[in-house]
Amino acid sequence: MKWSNFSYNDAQKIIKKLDLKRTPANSHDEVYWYYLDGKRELRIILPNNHAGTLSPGFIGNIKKNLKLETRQFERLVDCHLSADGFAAHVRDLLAD
Amino acid sequence: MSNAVVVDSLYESSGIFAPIQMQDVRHAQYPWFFPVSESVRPVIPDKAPSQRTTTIRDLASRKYQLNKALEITVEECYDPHEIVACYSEVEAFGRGNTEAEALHNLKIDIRNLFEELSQDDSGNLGKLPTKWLRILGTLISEV
Repeated sequence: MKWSNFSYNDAQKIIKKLDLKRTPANSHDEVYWYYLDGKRELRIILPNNHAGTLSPGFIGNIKKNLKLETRQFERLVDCHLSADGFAAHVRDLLAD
Repeated sequence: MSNAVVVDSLYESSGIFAPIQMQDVRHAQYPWFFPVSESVRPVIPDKAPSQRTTTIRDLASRKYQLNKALEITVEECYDPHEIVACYSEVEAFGRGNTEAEALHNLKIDIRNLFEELSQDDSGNLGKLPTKWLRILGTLISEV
């Protein structure tokens, strides 16, 4: 997958893969938390419906929320980057 | 020799490619002799996102106020068109069809984030959310 083709369905894949927890929000997007070792670590804003293509700015923000470079982000959606691999990546970042 | 061919030969001799419309006309008339070359068609690049900064001085709330103005990044994206606004210090985000809508959604997101983090007494906040709460705690106060 090319990052610019990221869709609502890809967002659903990420939610499932990383076991993201949804939080109630008053916005028109959904807010999720990524937990690592029982602690809230990353906050990710994802689309809440199938409506249309996502803008590059919105997809870029999702990448930033997940602390991933473009290639890593594509690998996460394409299943090459596993949940354990992602956890290790976040651990490394937080250790810095 | 027709006038069109004379004009075309002038274009070619001057090193300027013939206008696209003229090529299309020639192609329509003599497709076996004037294939339309893709190489001379203009390539219109995708419009690159434009980015700028602005400030917000309130959170559109009767409950909370900002202690100081926040510097916000606003990005206009194309295909599809959308404005996104970010306050990167706490990774807050808003989007909309207009800048006003994106900034309003950003304000809502900042309020939501602050309320959510300040109400969390489980001790389960990680490194980044703890930092965000500290930042927001200095920026936001109740009215």
